[in-house]
Formats: sequence, C-alpha cells, structure tokens
Amino acid sequence: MRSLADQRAILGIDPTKRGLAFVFFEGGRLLDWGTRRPRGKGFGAFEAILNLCPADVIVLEDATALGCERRPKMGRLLALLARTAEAKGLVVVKVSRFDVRRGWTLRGVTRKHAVATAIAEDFPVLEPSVPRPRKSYMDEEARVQVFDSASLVLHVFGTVASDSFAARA
Amino acid sequence: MPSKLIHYLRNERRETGLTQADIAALLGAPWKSKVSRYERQEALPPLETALGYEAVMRKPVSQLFAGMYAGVAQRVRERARDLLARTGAANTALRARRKRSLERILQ
Repeated sequence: MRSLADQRAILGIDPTKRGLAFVFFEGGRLLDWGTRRPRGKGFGAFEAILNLCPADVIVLEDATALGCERRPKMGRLLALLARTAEAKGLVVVKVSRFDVRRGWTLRGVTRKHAVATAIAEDFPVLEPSVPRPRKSYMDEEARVQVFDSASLVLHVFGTVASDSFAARA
Repeated sequence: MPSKLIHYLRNERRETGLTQADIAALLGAPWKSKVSRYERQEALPPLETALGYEAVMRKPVSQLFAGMYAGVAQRVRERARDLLARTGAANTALRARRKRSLERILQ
C-alpha cells in the first residue's frame, strides 16, 4: 500500500465522452473517485466535483502537448476547465498523456488494464473498480477513465510507501 | 495537515467495503438516499446518526467529521481566548481552576 508523495489536496480530472472522471487525494490518501455526468450545458459536473472535493491543486491533461490525441472539442474543454480552476484560485498542473504513457512503459506496463491493476496494487481501495480485460469487441468501461485520471496525478506527484508518512509523524 | 473535507463518510465507507444500502440498514434509515445525501454533503446527519457512524466505522466522530471538527474547535478556542481576556484575577481556588480550564482549551 502506498500514498501520494504530496500531502496537499489534489484533484485529477479526465474529461471523457461520458462526463468527468476524477480522483481526489488528501494527505497522500486516495479519498474519493468516480465519474460525474454533465448536467445541461453548463459546468454542473465540474462544480459538483469541486464542491465535493475542495482541492488546492488540480491535474489536467495538456491538450497542447506534442503527441496529444485529443479531439479539438476536448482540447477546448480542458482549456476551459483550467481557466475555471485558475479563476477559483487553484494551482493547475498540466501533464502530457504521452509522458504518462512513457512513464508506465518504463515500468513495463503498457495496457490500460495493466495500468489499472498497478494503481489498484498501490491503492487497494480501487481494487473493486479494476475493469475486466477488454476484448476487441468490447467498449471501454467508464471506470477506466478513473484510472486514467489517477495515472495523471501519480505521474506528476509520484508515490511513497504509506509507512514513511507514519515514520515522519 | 488541515482537513479540507467536512467529513470522510464516503471514503470510510468505501474502505470498509460497505454499500450505502448496508449503512442505511445499520443506521436504521429506511432508504439509502439518506446516506447518499450525507455523503454528498447535502445534509448533515443528526447526533444519533453521527454516533451510529462512529459505531459502524470504529472511529471517533471528531475524526469522521474532521473538517467540521477543526472549524468548530477553532471557533471554541477563539471564544475561550475572549473569555480569558475578560476574566479577572484568579483570587479563589474556583476561579483558578476555571482559568486553568480555559487555558487548556487554548492549547
């Protein structure tokens, strides 16, 4: 079992066609995760997540990074999320999905299912949410996006063994 | 590290592996929607329910509602400071004990 290396309240958000997937860490612990569907045309889902998870830092994908495969619409949404978060006084950290994938590849993890399993090993509360291995005829499960948002945060801040915090305290 | 969340009910429930329906059944609530409202911070549980959560999660209420507790404790300390400032000389045993109690709250 591991903890996030940064103790601040950190929110990772990954927009998908189904809504916004998020993970929330505080004090290095994974406290909340899930997917919020968009409500109407406004920013209801984003506001709902921010109300539920009062973060200091928000981690988003960098849609302008080299190798980004996001559609222009998603790029605009990510930019809008970043602007809204900055206006609320949050620290916005953008990370390239390409860098995240490269980080996992260096650890010998290449498939999304393997990434989800690796994250669940570090944070066992996520174990029930690990998706089934995907077959070619299957659509991607919605909960995969939660692991995508978690991998953004873990790539930026890294993890440490949970007992290292206990030793420091 | 100050708690940013008002309470940790959702997180603690997920760590125990219990469902909202399980919690509702344990707390004697007819529907899980009540539990959902507490977890989404749309409503605050009454004292009896909060103590029920303590019995279920095996953690003190002040820890389950850490963010709220920190805010309340801070306000109590401010009031204790005001009260202490208004307090006269501790010239009797009772007044001295009262002053020590207020100072203990401030620590």
